Amino acid sequence: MRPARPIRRLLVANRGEIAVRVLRACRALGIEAVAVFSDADANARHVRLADEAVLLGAAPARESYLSIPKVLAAAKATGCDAVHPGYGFLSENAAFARAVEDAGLVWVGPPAAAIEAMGLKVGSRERMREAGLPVVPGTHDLTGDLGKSVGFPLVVKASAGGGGKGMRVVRRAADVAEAVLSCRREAEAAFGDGTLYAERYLERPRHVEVQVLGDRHGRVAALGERECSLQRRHQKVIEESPSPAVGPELRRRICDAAVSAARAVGYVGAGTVEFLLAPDGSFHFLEMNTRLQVEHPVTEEALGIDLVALQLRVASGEPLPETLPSTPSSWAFEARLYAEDAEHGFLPQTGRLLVFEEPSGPGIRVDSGVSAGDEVGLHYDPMLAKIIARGTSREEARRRLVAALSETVVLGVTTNISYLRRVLESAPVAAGEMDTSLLARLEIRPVPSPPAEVFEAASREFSSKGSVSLKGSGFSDPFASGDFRMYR
Amino acid sequence: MKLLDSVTGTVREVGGRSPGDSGPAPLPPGPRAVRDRGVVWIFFRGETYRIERVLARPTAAAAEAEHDLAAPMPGKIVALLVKDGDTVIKGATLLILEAMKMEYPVRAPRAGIVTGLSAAEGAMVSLGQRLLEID
Repeated sequence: MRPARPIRRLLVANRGEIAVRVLRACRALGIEAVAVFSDADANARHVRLADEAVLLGAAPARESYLSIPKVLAAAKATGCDAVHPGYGFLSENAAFARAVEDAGLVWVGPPAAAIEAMGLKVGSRERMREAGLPVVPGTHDLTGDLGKSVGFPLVVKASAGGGGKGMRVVRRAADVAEAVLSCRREAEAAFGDGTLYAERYLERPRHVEVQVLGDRHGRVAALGERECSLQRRHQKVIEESPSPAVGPELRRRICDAAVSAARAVGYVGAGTVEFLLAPDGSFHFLEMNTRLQVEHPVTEEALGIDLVALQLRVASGEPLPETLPSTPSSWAFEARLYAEDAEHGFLPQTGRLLVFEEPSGPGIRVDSGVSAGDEVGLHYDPMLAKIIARGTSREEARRRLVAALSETVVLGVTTNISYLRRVLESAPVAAGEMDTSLLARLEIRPVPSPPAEVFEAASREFSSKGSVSLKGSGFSDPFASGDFRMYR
Repeated sequence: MKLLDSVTGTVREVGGRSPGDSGPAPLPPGPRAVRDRGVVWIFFRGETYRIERVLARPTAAAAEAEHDLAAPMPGKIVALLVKDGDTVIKGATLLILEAMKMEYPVRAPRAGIVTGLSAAEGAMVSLGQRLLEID
């Protein structure tokens, strides 16, 4: 066991809202924080919040946020004694974890061996089966007759995958070849590893995951569950904690399973064990994410804890507090605000944020990585912010989130705000009757046609001279030609 | 003037103020409007609208543009599944664009024959870039 090593100066090896989140935790704990950034982020919110910031390189992630030598050099040059990887980028890169520790720095994450054990899904499934967890049937041999070895429908997944990338659902043998090709391409582009496996695709399960936290003294705690069934193309859209499908008895069983999973790989730090929950209450291990999750705030709000602060404490060698809560005292929802056009195929959107006004009020929290004037580009994930609402009941939290979304103003870049609100207002979501394919079949009410006031205001803007905002800003406007319609 | 809300596809004819009008327009009670060149972004009663001006254009050019297929988003062409002369049915996947590590299939908006293919596998394309025609 290593002696406790308090963290004094921490490098945040990430960008966007999660970098901001970690920087805020550092400030509250009195830890100095160093940001890193690419050419595209020179003026970003996370850079402005840091005590010091280091330019890594060009905008493409491979030349900046994914470059292990550059991130390590930044940590050394600024005298940091610890590194927090956030999520995405290098957060689940065992080589990076090892390099950080070899450089004598504290790694705010699990041991490299635990990342490796869980990182390649093919091996982790085996490991979890041995640890006694229920695992979905599947195979890593994609050349055989998948109909026989796995059965349809099945899902082809990237072994190195995560975050919904590199996944294809296949319903008949004729579609296997194309799914494998396309999945492999996406996996190679996203993870640099085209290894795939196939597993049985369970119809209409709920996605329920358990937050775990381990310390360096052998203790692993389960911090309740989150329900993330509201997904679109395997990307989570709205999450909540607790799950409306989980009562005290199921919570105890699923939390016990998650702790067994974490123990089996000697887990330290914050991690998430994902399960598929069937309508009959049975659950199957899906995967373990060896990092902080995007949706960690719903756990924080439901339990009244600060997960990033706890991460930093256990990373520096402190034992877990004796009094961690495991049952929720509030209900919390999170909606992910994406720069995407929900009315036209959810395509990612770019542009300049002319207006960006975050909501506030009782029980409302916003974890955001952008501010007005920022350019939203194509280099990184299109998530701009997370809007989180807490209430004493599920209904109170849901209504607060709907209200918060209706006062969130984003002009200049098309976002999914309206879509998020209409999903939250839909009958199945209001009733808590969700599964992972709900969003694919849900018919939400359409966006109302603009009332006369809207066209009148637009007409006034078009008529007034010299009201063109942000002239010469470099913003390339696809509609500038006037007669151009983007999507048919 | 003729206006289009590109979120809902609603078109409306509105009497605009002539450029000769003097004095600032009275502020409407509510709509929050920001103009960025050819688009006015409006926030009103919880919804966001994106209003463009619809300008008249020559019919020949319009007919020509009908057949063009433009890139629906900026990105990289990771797979090109058709070549000039191919007959495609409506909805057929023509090519696959990748942006932010996610793949998006671009499908044929109508049945026809692929001509004037100007895109190549591996190429980066910008939003609205003409990729091919379907005659």
